[in-house]
Amino acid sequence: MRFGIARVVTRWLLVVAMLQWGCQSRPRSVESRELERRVVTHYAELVLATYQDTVDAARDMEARVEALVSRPSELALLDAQKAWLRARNPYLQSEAFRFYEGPIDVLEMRINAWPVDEAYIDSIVSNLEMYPQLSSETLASLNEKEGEANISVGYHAVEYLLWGPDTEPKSAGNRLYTDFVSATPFGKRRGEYLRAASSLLTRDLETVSREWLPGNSSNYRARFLAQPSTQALGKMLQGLGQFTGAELLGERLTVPYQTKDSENEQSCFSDNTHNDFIYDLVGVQNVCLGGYLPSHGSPLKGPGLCAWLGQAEPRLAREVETSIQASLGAAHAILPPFDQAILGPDTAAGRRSVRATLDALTILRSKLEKASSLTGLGASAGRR
Amino acid sequence: MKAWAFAVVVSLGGGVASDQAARVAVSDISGAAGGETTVLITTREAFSLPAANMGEADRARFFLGKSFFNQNWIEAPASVSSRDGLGPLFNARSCSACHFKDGRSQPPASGLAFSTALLHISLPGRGAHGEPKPDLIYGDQIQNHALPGVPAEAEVIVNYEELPLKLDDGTVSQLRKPVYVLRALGYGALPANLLVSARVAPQMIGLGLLEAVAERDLMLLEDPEDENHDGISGHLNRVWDERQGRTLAGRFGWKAEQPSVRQQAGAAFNGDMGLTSGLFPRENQTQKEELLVKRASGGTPEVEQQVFNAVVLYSRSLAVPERRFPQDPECRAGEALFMQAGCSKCHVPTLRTAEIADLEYLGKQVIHPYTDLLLHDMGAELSDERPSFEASGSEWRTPPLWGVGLIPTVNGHRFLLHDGRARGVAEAILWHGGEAAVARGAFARMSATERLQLVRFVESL
Repeated sequence: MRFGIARVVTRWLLVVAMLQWGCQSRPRSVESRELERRVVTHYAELVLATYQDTVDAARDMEARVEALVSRPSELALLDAQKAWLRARNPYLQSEAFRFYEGPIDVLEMRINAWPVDEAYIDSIVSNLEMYPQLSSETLASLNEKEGEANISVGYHAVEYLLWGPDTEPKSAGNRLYTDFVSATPFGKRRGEYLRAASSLLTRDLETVSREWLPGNSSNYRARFLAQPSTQALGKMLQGLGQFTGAELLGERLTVPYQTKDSENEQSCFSDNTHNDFIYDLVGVQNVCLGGYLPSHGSPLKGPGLCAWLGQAEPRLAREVETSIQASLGAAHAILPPFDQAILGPDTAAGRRSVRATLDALTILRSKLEKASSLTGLGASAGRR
Repeated sequence: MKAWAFAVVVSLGGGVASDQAARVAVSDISGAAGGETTVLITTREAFSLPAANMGEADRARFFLGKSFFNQNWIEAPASVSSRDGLGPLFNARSCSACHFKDGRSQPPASGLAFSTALLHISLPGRGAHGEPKPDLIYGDQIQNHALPGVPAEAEVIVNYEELPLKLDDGTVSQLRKPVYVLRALGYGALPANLLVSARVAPQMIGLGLLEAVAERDLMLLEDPEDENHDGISGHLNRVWDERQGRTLAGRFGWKAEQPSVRQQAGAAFNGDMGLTSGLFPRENQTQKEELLVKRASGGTPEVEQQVFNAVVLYSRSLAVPERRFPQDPECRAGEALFMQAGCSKCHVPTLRTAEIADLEYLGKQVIHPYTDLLLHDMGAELSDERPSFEASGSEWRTPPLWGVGLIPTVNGHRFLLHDGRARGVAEAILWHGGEAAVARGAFARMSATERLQLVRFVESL
């Protein structure tokens, strides 16, 4: 009994000690504090650049959606679909900025919620009586109402409207442009819905992006930079840990691998899920290595999380870097479409490619957890 | 100080009684509420994470369970057979409809219909195993949704009466008392002597830990005849275990009507979503309703065993988040007041989990749930006058307090108590009566500052 309590107390003292180490007490050299500062400042730059590209791409998609809705044609539909695919790439890279109560966490459920229950969206489209106007506000108020699958807005709601249900095993959804013409039942309504959802998505991304603009003393960036650097680093690490562990490894890879059910793949309508993994991991790499390749202009380069980690734990920093590369390599090797790759026996080439990504991400998660516990920061997946 | 040190000692099964041990307990209670399972995340995801010390293989099953917990079930037959079979009568399409983000649901505003809360009903008397006696037509709960073409059972409307309450320092506090109206009855009139009890869905954290506390430890906390004369006379509910076919200690549900997480999950799949499982192979309709409604089945059972097991594992393994700001002086003052007022006599701070065969990471943990899992008489004002097994109308299970302060973060509301009538911690305390009348009185006599400190402590959990 005494032993049990003593053990708990020891553990607590250890945690408290580590937190203090992380926050202040351990004497750190001027260079080390300077590097912390630079890593955090550069991170803010990198976040902003990623969100600016995300907003630009969403605006471009909104314009093409507008063209499709006002004059539906096969070409206009294809154009909007291509814009959606382009818009995903910067957004996916920004997902590494989630899970520490930053600006994205406030709106994420309106931006990237999944898996979408398409019947829910169809029921809103066809219910003229309850929803005479399909405005952005109406759609936002219906999002995640009475259940996490009741998703009415965001990238994946737009994806469903652009591609339609994923009924063909070998290809993406088979939406026809005629689904948006007024002669088709609810065609005009579907267009209205798509327009409102796409507009809301752009507005929400703009809101998130504004929080990271410099020169505003009251936005999130100002608060992020004003806190002690170790606290900001802790958030970066916490976000990466939770995103890699619970989200990517858990919900996005393990569940579809186990269920072999396309309902559990993130971008099922467009069959773009393999790219989700690739660009998500590029985002993780960006934070760790401090690089970002913007849509326009020269590459962003500066000290990343690994530069800071490498000071105290050079070996672990290298391991994190290597395991990101291994995960990226494995994700590139997933045989698309993802919903076919998860099928068949475990020896099938597709399943082996998914399994390899799963294994690589398991290693990456454990390295990030180790980084959390060694530095006393981040609490990546909650392990002490 | 002494009172709560006593509570800690009792909860640990005796053996530690020195002042030193009491001091040890203070710092212990400060943080790792779920022992080694505790997660350090206190964001919107705070209730949704796996136990921190869970191994790789169980993690995979955890996330499988999570996906089925969150997804919508659909009408049978459907192309995706693993998730069809909803209804024909149901309250929700998914677990997450009410346990949103694995958190707590809320009652509707005054004058509106239930959507994420539900109404239990029964007739006076008891069933074969001591359970509430179901209505012959409507069964034991109102299902307010149905598949297309099937009448739903009813709409449940809540109206609140405001009750001003004067505290000892002259402050007037507003309480609100719910009154329920059943409307749009789908299967004919209900009897006049119908008993009703409204329930919101509680947060899902730490359930496997509570399940792993040895029954003997809980029995040590029992004092049905109040032999220690402290005014508290808690006892375990004794409920029917479907799988074992015998009576066991009740642990889950607002009146501790369920003996295990497995049975709680099965009952919710069945009663709330109209889904059959190995444990509950029959649809939730009564025989009279079955004559009126025939629908395609989603398989036998509708929730396949592998899925069911994964959802149970998920429900048992959701981690408890760490306590926030334990060193805050206001909070510490509130903690002392909590103990002095006697709250901790039922909201027992510390329990231990036994060694368990499966999910071994939940075993042998020192945990801080702030519950004794016992039934206590909470007075006439909180009574639903609907007995369930050995719980009388006025008896309720002490709900765990861990995570209570994070409900606003996760679910965006502050509603507490079984029916969500309390609009925050202070109102919840003021509703306490019966055995808790003394503790409530102590709270009402406190200064405004002290009341705030006590509330702040509870919200730090």
